[in-house]
Amino acid sequence: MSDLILSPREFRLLEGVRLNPRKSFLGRVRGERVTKRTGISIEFADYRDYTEGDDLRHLDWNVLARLDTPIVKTYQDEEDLAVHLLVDLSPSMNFGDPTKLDSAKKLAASLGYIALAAGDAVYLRQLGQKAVPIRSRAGYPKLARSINQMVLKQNYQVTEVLRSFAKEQNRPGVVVLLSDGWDAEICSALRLVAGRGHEVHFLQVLTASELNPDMEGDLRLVDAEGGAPREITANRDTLVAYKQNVANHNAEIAATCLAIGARYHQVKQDDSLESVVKDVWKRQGWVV
Amino acid sequence: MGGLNFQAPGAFWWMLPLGGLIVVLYLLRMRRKQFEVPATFLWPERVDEVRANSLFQRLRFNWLMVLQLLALLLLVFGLARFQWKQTGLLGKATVIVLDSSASMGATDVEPSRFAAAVDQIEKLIGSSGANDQIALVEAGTVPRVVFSLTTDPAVMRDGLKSVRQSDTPSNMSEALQLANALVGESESARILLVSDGCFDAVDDFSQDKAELVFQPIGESEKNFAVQALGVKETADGKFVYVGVKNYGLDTAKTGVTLSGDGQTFWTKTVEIGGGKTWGQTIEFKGDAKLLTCELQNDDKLTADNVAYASGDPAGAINALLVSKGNLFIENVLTLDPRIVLDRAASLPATEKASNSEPSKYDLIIFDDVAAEAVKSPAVLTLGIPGPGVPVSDKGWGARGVYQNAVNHPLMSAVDFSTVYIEKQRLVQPTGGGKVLARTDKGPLVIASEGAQKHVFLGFSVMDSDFPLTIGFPIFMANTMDFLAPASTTGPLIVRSGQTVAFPAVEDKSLRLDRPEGDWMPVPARQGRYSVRGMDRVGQYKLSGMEQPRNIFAQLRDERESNIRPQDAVQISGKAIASERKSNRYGDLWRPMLLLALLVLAGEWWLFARKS
Repeated sequence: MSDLILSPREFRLLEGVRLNPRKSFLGRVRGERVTKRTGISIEFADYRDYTEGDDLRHLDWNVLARLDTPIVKTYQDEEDLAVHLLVDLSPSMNFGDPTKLDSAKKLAASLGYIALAAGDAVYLRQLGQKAVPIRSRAGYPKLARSINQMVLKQNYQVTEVLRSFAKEQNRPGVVVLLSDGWDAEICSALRLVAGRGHEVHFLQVLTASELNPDMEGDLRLVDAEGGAPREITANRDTLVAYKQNVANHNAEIAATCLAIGARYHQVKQDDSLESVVKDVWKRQGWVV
Repeated sequence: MGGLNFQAPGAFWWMLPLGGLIVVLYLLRMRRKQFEVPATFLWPERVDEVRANSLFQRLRFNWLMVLQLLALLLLVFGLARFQWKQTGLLGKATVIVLDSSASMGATDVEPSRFAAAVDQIEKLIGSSGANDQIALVEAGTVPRVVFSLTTDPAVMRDGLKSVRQSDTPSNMSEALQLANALVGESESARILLVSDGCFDAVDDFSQDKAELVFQPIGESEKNFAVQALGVKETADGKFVYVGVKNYGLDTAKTGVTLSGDGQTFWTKTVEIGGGKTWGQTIEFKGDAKLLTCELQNDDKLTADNVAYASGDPAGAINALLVSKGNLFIENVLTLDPRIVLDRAASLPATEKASNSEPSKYDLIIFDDVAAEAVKSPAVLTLGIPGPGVPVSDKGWGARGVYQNAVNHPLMSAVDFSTVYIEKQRLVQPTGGGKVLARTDKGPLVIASEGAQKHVFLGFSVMDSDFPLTIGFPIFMANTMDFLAPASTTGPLIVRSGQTVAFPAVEDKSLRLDRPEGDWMPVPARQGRYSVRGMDRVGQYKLSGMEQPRNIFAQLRDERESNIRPQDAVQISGKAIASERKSNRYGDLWRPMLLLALLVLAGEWWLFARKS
């Protein structure tokens, strides 16, 4: 993986798009994104009576001339958007070729670039580390460098990271979660994050062998994340039961995301960035 | 568990080592291959151990083990020859012995015992399985194999249509021997005796492995029979004696009609107690050749309601053979058309001299049985003398050397010089006894005439080769002529089923008209006509001879007239109890093995699925 993670072609693919959250968030600095706050922009918001001290430039002269009543036009303010990038660094992400982690890093870099290009503030969230906002397109190399430096961690649990993130008084914004979601507590953790005013965009990165395992015989399954080992006979009944469990688990994630207003999609670790951008993000309105 | 049986229970010992081996195999622990997965919580708790390669683990429930043990159990059940008691005729090989004797003609079961038995057999055939082999033996005077072991119901039904009931006693001993020979050594075979049990105890039947089952027929014992009928000529004139027995349990009335040559000359209604006999002597003035006695009542057996006797005291010889069994004498006597023969192992009390009633017999023959004083007008003693025999007895002596014989009709064409005699009775004549033949040890043949005629033969015929010589039937015929001369032209009275012989002068067939209206040819063979087929009571007419002969067949068999249904029959000293439902132990080893194979197939399918 190169220092910038993305290739020039992929940069071109990401040009001209920006994240499209369902909600509006209050910004910290003036940006290009309309917020709930009224302020200075070209986006008309409402009329109100004039009060002393109002900027006379916003007085509606046409109304004053016809009705002899001073009326002031108000406009929506434009501020930046907080985009929190959370990449699952648990050992379970070390499966597939390329690994799920590599794929997650690339997707994180892509979304980070999109946010930076749109003037949003990007926070790369890692467990136990204070995240510093990165702004503007010029900050991308720094973001890429930080993403590149991320490695798998033993005893890492994505739900623990989500809960820790929710507890911190972080600025509400879009939380981009890139994970395989293999945690029984993932749904409650997602609800907790959403409850803090964040909008979750969850890309579940999986391998084909996780969805349709090809194994047989009597096996002792060892959990990559240190869970209890399990002895199975990998026959048809067992595989059918496993697939049903996976489907139920993913359906529960999807239902949770729907309930909390989050965006959710499942991608394969070997899906190309182009297919993700076109078929998922653009088609489903993740970006505009 | 009375319905279960195992023919080879020793096979259960296989269960221990083989079952133990299967369980031990499931105690072996699986050595599993390690496989790393992203998360284990999505994998089901599913351990289906189908193979093992390491020691040891706690025994856990496993369907494969259960199925294997079940298959083993079924296999062992099969090897143990598991049997189940079943109702119905499902025997692997079943010989049905159908009693077709006179008593089976009783109508206490609608329409008759015999018809009900046939109906029952037809139902049994209908309920038999595809692999059930069935044979049918008709137990009449001469037992007949109606059809041999077959699985074809058409053959069985065709055969069943050919059986017919007769007014004769059954030869159950031979019928059972025949049935036994048909099933042979077959282990799960059975002999099903369908009968009313009205036959003498069978002593000489050696049962093989076949199970003997007695299925009774009949409900009532209500029956009258003419027990005695005859004419006696005394100094006071000619008298008819008649005896009727009530075989029922209750006192009942019956009409008794006597007729001579078809003309009724005496009739009376009599009341007879249950199990009692009524008898009367009536003066008989006519010269009718045939005397008939008929009973009028509503009893259940009609064949014994008629009896015939010759109106001429010399017209027929009613003979009683007291013997332990001698086929040579029986054959000679039964082939003589003049003789109506009864058999007994010992002398009946009614025939002893001490009894006041008149004798039923014209002649009593003691064969190798100590002679007793009797009332009959003639006695033939073969071997052991006794009271009434005009000889003084000194016991058995060694074989003697034949010396001479006198010229006497009794000794005509009889030559003892070539006869081998093992031992001779040492006797001397007393009273009017006359020595007709002698050896150096003493008299061999003694005859005496008088109020009671006697012939004494000084050896037992079974201790000699006399029956094998031509002189034996001649001697017996001469003896009959001497002791009880009978007419040769009058009506012939025989027992139903009896075979009589006549000399054939020409090589042409005679015609026998039967009472049922049909007729049958009687061919001449080896210089004589053997008349068979007179198995129904009634009048037969033998024509084609110079002088046609009327033959009257009557039942006159106490055992057949006693139609009380039996709950058990005595076979070889063992009481075979009646079994209304035909039960048997069905051999189930084939279904067991099939089931074991099915279970193994299921186990294989489960194994393939789990693998």
